[in-house]
Amino acid sequence: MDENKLPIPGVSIKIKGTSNGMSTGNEGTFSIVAQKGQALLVSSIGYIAQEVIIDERSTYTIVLKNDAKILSEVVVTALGIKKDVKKIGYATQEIKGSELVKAREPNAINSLTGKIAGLTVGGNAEMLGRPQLVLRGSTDLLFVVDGVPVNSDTWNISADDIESYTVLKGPNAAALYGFRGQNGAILVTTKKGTKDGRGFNVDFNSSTMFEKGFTALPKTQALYGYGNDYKYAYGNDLYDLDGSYRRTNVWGPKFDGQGVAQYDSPIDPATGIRTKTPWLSKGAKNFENFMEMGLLSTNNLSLSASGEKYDLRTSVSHTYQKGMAPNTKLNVDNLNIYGGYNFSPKWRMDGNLNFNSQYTPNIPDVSYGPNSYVYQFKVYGSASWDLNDVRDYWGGARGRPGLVQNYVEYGRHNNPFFTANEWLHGHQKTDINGYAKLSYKLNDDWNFSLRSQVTTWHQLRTEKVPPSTNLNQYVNDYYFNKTNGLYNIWYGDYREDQRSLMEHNHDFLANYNKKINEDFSVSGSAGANLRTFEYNSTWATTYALTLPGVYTLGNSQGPVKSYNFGSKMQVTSGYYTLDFGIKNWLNINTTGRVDKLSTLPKGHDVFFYPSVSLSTVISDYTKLPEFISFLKIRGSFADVRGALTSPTIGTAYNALTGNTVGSLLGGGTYGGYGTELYSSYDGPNYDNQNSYSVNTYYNNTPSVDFSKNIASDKIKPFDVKSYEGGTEVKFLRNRLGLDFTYFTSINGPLVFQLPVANSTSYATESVNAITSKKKGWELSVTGTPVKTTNGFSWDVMANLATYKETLSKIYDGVDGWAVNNHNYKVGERLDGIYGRAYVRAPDGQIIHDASGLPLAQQAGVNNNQLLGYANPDFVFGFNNRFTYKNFSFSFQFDGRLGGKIFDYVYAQSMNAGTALDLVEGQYGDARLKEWQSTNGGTVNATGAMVGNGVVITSGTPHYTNGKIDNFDQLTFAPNTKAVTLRNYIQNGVYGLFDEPFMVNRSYVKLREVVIGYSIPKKMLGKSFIKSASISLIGRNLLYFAQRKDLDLDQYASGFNLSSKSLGGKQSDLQSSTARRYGFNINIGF
Amino acid sequence: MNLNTIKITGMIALAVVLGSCQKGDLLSNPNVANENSNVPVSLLLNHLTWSMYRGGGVVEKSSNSVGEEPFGQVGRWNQYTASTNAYYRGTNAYAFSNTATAYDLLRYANQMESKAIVQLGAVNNIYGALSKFFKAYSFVWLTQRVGDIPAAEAGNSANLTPKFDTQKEVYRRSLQLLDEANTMAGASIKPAVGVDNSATVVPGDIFGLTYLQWQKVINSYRLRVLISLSKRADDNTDLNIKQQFSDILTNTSKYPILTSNTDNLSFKYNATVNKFIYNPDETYNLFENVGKTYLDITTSSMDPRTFITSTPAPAEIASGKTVSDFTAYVGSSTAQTQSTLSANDALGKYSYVNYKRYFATFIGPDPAVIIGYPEVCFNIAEAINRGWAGGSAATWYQNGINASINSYGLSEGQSYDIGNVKGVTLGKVTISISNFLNHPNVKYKGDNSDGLKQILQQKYVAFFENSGWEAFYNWRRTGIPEFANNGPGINPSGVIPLRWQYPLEEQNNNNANYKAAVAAQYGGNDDVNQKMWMLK
Repeated sequence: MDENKLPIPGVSIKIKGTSNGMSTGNEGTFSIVAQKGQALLVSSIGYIAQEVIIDERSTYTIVLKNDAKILSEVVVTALGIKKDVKKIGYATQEIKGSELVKAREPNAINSLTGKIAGLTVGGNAEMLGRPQLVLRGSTDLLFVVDGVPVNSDTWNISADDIESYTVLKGPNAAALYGFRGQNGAILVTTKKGTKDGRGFNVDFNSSTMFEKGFTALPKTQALYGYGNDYKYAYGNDLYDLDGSYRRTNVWGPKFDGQGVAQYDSPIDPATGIRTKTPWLSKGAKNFENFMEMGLLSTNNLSLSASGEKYDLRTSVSHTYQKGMAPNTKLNVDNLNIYGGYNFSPKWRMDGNLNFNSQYTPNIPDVSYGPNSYVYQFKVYGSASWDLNDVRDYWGGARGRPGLVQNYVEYGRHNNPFFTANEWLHGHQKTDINGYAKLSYKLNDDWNFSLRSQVTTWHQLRTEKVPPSTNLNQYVNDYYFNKTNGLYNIWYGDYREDQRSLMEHNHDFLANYNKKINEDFSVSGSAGANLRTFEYNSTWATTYALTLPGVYTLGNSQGPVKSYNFGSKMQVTSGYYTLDFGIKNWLNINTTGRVDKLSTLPKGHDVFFYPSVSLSTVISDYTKLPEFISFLKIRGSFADVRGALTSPTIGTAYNALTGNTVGSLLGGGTYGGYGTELYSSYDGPNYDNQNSYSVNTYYNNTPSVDFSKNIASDKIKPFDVKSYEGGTEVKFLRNRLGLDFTYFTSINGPLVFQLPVANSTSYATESVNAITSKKKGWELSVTGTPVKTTNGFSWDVMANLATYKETLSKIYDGVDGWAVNNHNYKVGERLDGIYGRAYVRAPDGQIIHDASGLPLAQQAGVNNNQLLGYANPDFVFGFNNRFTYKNFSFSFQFDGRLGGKIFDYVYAQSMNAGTALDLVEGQYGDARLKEWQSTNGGTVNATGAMVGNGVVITSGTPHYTNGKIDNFDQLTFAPNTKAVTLRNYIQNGVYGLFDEPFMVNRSYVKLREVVIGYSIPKKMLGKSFIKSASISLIGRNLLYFAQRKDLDLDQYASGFNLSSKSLGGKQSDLQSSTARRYGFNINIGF
Repeated sequence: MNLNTIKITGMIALAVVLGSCQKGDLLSNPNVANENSNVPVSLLLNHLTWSMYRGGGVVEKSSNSVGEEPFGQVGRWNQYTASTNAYYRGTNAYAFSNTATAYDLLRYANQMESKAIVQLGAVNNIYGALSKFFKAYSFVWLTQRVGDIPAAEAGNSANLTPKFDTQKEVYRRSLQLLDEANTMAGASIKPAVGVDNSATVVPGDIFGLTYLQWQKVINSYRLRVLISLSKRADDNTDLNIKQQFSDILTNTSKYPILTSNTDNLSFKYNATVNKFIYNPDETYNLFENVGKTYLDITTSSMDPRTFITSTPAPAEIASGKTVSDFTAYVGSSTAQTQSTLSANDALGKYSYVNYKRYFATFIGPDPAVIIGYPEVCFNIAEAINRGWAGGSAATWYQNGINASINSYGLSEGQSYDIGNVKGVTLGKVTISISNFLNHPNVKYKGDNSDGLKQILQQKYVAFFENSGWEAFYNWRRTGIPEFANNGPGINPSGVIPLRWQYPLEEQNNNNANYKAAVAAQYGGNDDVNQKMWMLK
């Protein structure tokens, strides 16, 4: 048995000096014939070997101690095969599920943040927001549960059922999963039956966390209100339809108590003109007052049992989250059942079923637009009104119950309470995955298994848009105006998005494991897999309802706009893995896989990919200095192929047309509205077809779109080649461990839609083009700086990772790739952000034009300037854990260093006049001076903003690639021209440049703090409670960044080769993030 | 477990696996139609006409594509309006760089042409004629922006590096295509004895024109193309520019042309799907002023269209001027920076776009004209003025003015409400067309350069927020009317560019041909200020 008095099966028992021996059974028992005085050699992987001298006793209880020399001896690798960590030639990292179930995140995957070197988790603060996982720069990772790939949105992973997470960090580790594992994989091993001596175990885990206290919040000014050029007046019409400042920015008059016609100012019945009432700051804290305390409660009860022939586990979890935005919530139910039965020593059957259901009547929609609270309160938020005035959102003088909302502004946004309670975004999703497996153990060397697995989900998202919702033209059909004295009221819209996916995997696996003699061992597996895939989705909108408040597609005024997208795919595969071991000198592992993929044209649809890895444990056969207790070096190569599938998919409309739903609903002057939702998919993208799709442009008349891509039947699978080398070293009797990996990968040529000359009349052709090269390294350090005999210990885990991705080849005869605002050349970093920069004098001063604005950069792609890189230089995590007897204390800092991002909230709030910067420093002085020049808003302002910089006094600038190249012909003098601040910001700083809003991407977070106490066994005594612990927990407690108006956490990805997008260039509006703290109780019965 | 159970289990397992195999074609996208399928040609025409309305490359989202609808960026580059707010109304600067193209029309036209022969069973059909028209339209659209372009070898997916043709050759080919289009359209109108499709609306066409109206559009467009070559008409006699123009004028039964505004190729807005660019939801007109180039012409000739398009400048009204005083209408100059314009605008110095007319309804006051009758009249007047054809330039000049006035629905003595930027009525004016027509600036000065200037000025006024880029191209060709130029608002170098650079994709992917073309035309420098062949 082990130190916890649990039986250890499979322990080798040998009589010293003989070849007599056997192994312990499942219950850890053994019997052997031996003579007194002989010694039993007792050994097992992971434990310190012992010698027991036989005396008179007939039974012996042998306690094996854990071998601290090997921290995690066995790891799960591809296909769920467990391997000795010493023999692996590539980088993996494992984390125990039990470490992540206390300081909870609503999404289990968010908890991995900072724990794995090289895995960047972009924790998403939004409800049902999917965390962005970036592994060596790639975002498309495969999730594997108990050896079988599952299609997951990460919300269907139940943290309490997870024994361990293993991250396979690159294609080298994941070669056996084929193209789905090209970027690495996250393997989840679920909990199985108990090893408890009583034969059963009951566990209860409960966390309750509260969310309050913003860590990232846009800072806005509360000195000036709605208006333009220091003027504002609400119109005489009830809904301001005749007002000049409807849908205005926040460049209005200062709150000096002067008279201004406002929404609640009375109308003089004699003249019909709105009177003036004092203009005051009444709502500086409207946003903070509107938001509520969030709550996250997770409860899990699990029961496991085992007997001679069976093991069982069943687990029920419920997660309830209440958002900080009013009336937002999320429920997740999860049921997990596992059962295994040994028919005989040779035959075993086991199966697992996981059922997950997510449901909510309303989650917030945060993308830029009148649906977003940050847009309402922060970007265009004026402090001129008090939140309490609009709590009754159908009431007041302007409200019409069920028809017209009561608000202070009818041009740009909506009453937030109306948004919260009437404009509802529902979500329902059911996820089921499970498998049944039959295994046969022929003998000690051979075993076989047959497995059938299914993963399926169905999701329904609905959006109920109530009457009088102000969509600010984001939807063409919105109107709120008056004809012939009557108000036209739009009765709202109903939108529905249904998606379902069904995937089957059937596989057969044969394993062989043989130790030929002391020096040689061989093990291997061979298998075959059939994967079938089917996906169906619809997206529909009414555009306008007939009856207000009835949210059905049938209640549509005009024809319902409805789109369908379906797809099918099949992959048949065969694969093998073969390991040779020669003593401890060398371990060789090779894998190979053949796929036949239905998405590729015949003749190119079958392909092979190999991998090989080598490792050697030098410390096992070489005498090393005393302080080095373990040294292993490893190296590997893998080649992965695949084609014409897409890791994610948007709405049916998006899948069909390539356009976002936002562009369908908006498409007007100000772009789309709403968030395009992407689901995990891994199905066909049909990118290589010349085809016609139906569309309509003019007055519902039918039209078609013809492909602008030239399809090719010569497309070959893409190719990712990855090389990796690394070392694991342990020092000072394993007190300090270090794991270092260097990797480089050649990604491509991709299956790519290469731009072609416009004169072909096509935009692109399908070819194998675009190759990138990634280089980087990952380092993780684990150590125990202090460990005393009285039970105190301090454990440290730190990790650090970096990589760079450059363009290494485009296509024969093509020397530029124009994408993301730049014509990239070979050798350039692909995460370079290019845009509009200030034009500067030789001394770096900003050049202004004669009118007092910063001089615009010349237009055109080739004139765009490098503004920074989107990928961080380093990603790190630093975890400390202190334990003393029954107490433990741990905390983690993590973050990213380096890189730039376009701060969208900052840019938009500068343009709108709300940014705090606009009342501070030079801007603030100019603004105040201008306000004073208006005589209380009665005369036009005199500009007082003199931009810091110079003007050209003689000579004409000449430019090359957007930069002046004839400074010798130019003379400069300081800029003295004063303009109004609004003009300077809107038409200059904001209107002409990207540079001012590029902010540092670095941040550090105090991610979690856990203070734990486990109640000592003796206190529990003989009660029915076997173990109990309580923890105080906190997450996201401190946040350090250059500008704390956005939480940089969720922008993990910079450039992503598979989508060719520089998505990480710019932030969006996001919910402001807050601290989360609470407690966790864990009880075992 | 005995042997039988194992066998049975194994067979069941095998059945499950095989049963889940998917059969049939998994390669093709089941959600779309194959390239070779029978897509009705009317749907292709629907797409083509929509793309034409939106402007080159807009529907395909080509980089740097610019919508050609009224009151957009093109309207500002035509100097009809000027924006004082970059965010809400865009910029005024001529930031020309790599151009978009209209080659997507060529791709659709090729598809339409081949499918029409299969579906209609006759080579001479209206879709074939329109295919030729759209091909010519697509070539001309691009050549006048950059110079030499691929034409003969363009539009072929099997040739990814098409050779460039000289601009002259592109025009020769395009004029030829238009001639063929006319012939084919004529044949499709009367395909057999007793069949007359003249009044049949062409299915799929979003403009709603009949067979005959399309034929008129084809020939009227050809007049536009011919007159645009006025600088090279004399030294390129092989192109027969003058002759072609005169042939069309003298044989209108073979070459019918537009005869009234009802024949206009124009886009009609509707209240449900395709609303007018401005409508009651749009409130940002306070950032959009009417351009100086336009108002200087109309106000100095007592043109009643002043009242239709503009509101009086608030400061002028505040200083006591009446709404009928033409000097109360002040345009803003694109040569000034947005900053200066914004500062002046805050002082009420400029006229705004007429809210009452353009913002009051969802369907807008007028359809968006792409090729219109007033332009045809002015083109003919110009040709006669230049001596290309016989007839009275004065008459056609007058016809053009009248057609434009008519299109605004104006009549002599009509009372018209003048509003402010928000549509609040400030007063009334009485429309006087006769004062305008009798104004010395307007009375035709004869077939000389003064007369030509009048024709071109009135053409510019008639082009107000319609016909895409035509106002700009006419200025580029003739210098009339005088555009605001040489100022800091124009762009960082201060001068209105004369052309665009070639698209990056052409540079990257058809590099050798691109380089040769730029070397042959511009000394190797693909510069926006250089003059192309047609402007020399």
